[in-house]
Amino acid sequence: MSDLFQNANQAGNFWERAEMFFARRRLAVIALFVILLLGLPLIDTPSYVKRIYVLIMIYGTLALGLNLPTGYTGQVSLGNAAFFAIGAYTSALLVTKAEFGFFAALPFAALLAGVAGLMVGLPSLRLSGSYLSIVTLGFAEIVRMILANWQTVTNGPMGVKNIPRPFFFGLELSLRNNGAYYLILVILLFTALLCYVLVCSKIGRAFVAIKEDELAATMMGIKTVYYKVLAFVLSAAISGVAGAFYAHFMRYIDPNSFTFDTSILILSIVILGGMGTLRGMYLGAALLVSFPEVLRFLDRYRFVFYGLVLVLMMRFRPQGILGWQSKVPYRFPSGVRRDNIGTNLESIPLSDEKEPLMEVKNVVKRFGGLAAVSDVSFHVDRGEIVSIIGPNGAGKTTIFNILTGIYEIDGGEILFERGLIHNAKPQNIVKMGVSRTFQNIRLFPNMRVIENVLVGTHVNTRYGFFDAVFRTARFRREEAAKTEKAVKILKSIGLDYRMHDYAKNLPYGEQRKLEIARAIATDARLLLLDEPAAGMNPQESNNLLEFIRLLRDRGYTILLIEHDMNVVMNISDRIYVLDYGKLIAQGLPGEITKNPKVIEAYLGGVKEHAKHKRT
Amino acid sequence: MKRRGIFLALSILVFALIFATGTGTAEEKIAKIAVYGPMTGEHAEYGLGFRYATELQVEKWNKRGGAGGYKLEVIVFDDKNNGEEAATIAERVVEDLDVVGIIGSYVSGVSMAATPTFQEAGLVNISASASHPDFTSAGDYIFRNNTVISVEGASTVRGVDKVLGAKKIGLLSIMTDWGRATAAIMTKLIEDNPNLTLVIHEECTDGSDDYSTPIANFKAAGVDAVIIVGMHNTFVPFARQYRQQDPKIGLAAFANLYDDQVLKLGGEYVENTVFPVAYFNESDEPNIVEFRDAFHARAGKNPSSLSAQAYDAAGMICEAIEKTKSNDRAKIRDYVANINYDGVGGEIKFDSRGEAQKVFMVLQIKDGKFVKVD
Repeated sequence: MSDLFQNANQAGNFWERAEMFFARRRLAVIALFVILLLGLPLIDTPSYVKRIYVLIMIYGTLALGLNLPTGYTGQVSLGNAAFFAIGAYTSALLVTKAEFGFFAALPFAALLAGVAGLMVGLPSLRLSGSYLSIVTLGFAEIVRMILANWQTVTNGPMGVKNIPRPFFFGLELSLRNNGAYYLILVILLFTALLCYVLVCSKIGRAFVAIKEDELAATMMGIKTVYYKVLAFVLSAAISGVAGAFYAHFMRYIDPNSFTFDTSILILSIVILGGMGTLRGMYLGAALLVSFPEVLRFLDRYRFVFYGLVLVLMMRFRPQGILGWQSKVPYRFPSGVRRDNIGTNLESIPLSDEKEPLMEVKNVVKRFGGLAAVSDVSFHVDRGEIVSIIGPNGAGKTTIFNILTGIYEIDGGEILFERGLIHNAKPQNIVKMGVSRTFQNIRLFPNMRVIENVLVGTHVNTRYGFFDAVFRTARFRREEAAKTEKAVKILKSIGLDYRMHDYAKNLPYGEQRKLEIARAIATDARLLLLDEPAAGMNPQESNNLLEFIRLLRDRGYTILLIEHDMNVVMNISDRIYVLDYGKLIAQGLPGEITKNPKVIEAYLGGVKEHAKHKRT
Repeated sequence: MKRRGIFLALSILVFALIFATGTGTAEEKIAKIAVYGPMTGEHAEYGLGFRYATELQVEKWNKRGGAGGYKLEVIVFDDKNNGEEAATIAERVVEDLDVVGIIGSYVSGVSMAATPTFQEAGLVNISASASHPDFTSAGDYIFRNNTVISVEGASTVRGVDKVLGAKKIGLLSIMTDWGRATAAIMTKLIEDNPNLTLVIHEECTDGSDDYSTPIANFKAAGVDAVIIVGMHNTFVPFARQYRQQDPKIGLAAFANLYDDQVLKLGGEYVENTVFPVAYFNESDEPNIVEFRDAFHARAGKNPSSLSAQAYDAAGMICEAIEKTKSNDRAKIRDYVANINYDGVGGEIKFDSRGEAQKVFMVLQIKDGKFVKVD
């Protein structure tokens, strides 16, 4: 077994070696850190230093929160100070005006901030990129204006003063008795644990898949809307908890405590530490919060220096200080042993009689005045390999987009297993058993090979948010089963030797294979392969042919778009020919090559062209 | 080898520094006065003003041989107008037992993140600029040497009555939190004065360019004088537009008019305007002349009234050290609470809440200059 990573502790740069070192002693390292953090305030330190420890942990918590939508899901928020403020004000007002205790007010702070997160998350259904960032920015300003002007409730620009410290069974938690330190440490550790369990579940994989390629994620059956909003709501609730602690720690808050600068500081921590990593958040917060204090001796030049350091760090480590891609092998769920997993895909049971799996009847699709697909009908029977061929622009990929729910149709109907599926949501079509690959490969390039396949299993991974958070028996069972399944698929397609590597590092032919593996992982019975042999050399494309035949023998049904005539003629049971959005011929491969219409429209041209090339 | 050389040089330097500071403290007793505020960023001019003022006061005392047997030192902290930094600075300052008092910060919201720490540790904090009504409510160690708008407004009313001799008063206020709150206070003050009648109150947006509507209303109501509740970006264009129609209209406003920009921009249109100030640079009293010239030499410009208030705040702490001959924080607080201080901003004493009771003088613009008239 040639494992790319076996020699990683000898190879690799400093960071990668360090990570490997720590990964091997994982539990010991975590235990050491926790003991260190528990003991830190017991060392005789000036209380202003302890205060900085506390601020670092507050910002660490905020950064972990922001990292969910921004680092993992790819939605940059410029307004997380708003959630921080809502949490702070909710708790401060409940405690000072309604005589709540801190711990009674805390859930309300998280809840109200979470509702605000929902309000910001909802526009993310329609917006992305910079537009979404502007929405979050505007939202934060609105929140600040409400806090400044809703005087009867928030006390306006005068702020909330004399906020009591948290009491824990009669003990006032202050900086001096280290109570504040331990309280925020507990909050930080819980947040870290929450983020960790989420990231290591189908939820975390869905987040990253959305960041990497939202359309591909949709095609894997991920409910992108749900996960994008979930990321925002979680982020907001975590920020709200940090805010509640902040209010009772600072003991005075006003709308100016939560400005754009605060949002930017949190975002800087996430970027500087390393987006989409957990380890980066702690280091980023420690550096960015302590720097201004450490640099105080520079007097009025300290922020010049601070800025300079930021610029240099971004210049030399644009991925963030701890933002490298982990070279540590993917951690299998306990109980899964790679070597015990077989290479044979399970078969899909077939009945003897031929029955249509998918039927397309008189489908019409228009783009403006142009009919991209007009009155096309075809069917694919169980266990068949059917190809659709035709010149460029004939409407082949449009048909795939219709079948998978990307486009709505303007007429006709589509049946899968005798049920109507046209104009259904892509996620539902995947769930019914139709999956696809793309003409221009759409993998999740910065996810590992095995994670790409696991994203494929997402649609039929049956556990929810609470199972993931509490790691229930159901979660462990499902994760183990899906991981085994993913490994088995990779073994059967010959990619298991690269399963720990990142998809972008694979050569072209293997990326195509991985896309097929990912499609199989959805438990699809019908695979739509869009030019699977494109860009492959003859050796690779022969391997692929064999694999597709193997799939057919295991009971899969395959609908193919292909230009490579060698592939099409060798493998297809039946062929449909499309030209200008119309079906011009259908039949067995032998019949198609003799069909004069086809020769005129398509094959003739290609053959002429090919002959020219060879001579 | 090169690295080792640098390390050696650094360690020698560090030891030298420790040694140097170590011998210094052994010989004489030191009392420190801390000053914090925005020393960088957009509000830096205020923080630096506090810093220069405090340094000048302390230098003055040290020239005379210190206070109460202590050599005085100033330590400066930049909070960059941020509450978190202010709170950290507070924590740091209270642990330095040589510190007997702290001046600052600039904005109320930032200062109030720090005042609970000063109060708990028992360290006198005097703000020269806070305007939050509850600033001193954090406790008995927290003082304010800044004006409260009701006292300032009473002096505006005095100027309108005594200097301008007006009877029928119009009130113009900007539509901000400050504008509305101040307008309410002014309404009460005018109504309480038997010589004056408030005939009309108009509102305008902050920094508007066109005042034709309020001016028409004021003229229709037949007012003798208008009190403008606004900054000089409202006052100057209003004065210009009104005086173009009626050169005799009386104008009155607040301490923020004490700025050379008003004379430059307003020209003949702001003549005879009256307004109150607690601190006046043009005074010929020797302590003011001394402070103004020293400040000008250091900062390159005349002190603002806020800098003058910081100067007096530092002076009060110095006097407390001198009179109590102690650096005991509780004794310093007791002395400051009962002080009767003669500063550049006039006689200062604190009420039971820690608010300075200041006396305002009335200035009038005459021949393009600020002149003290009352």
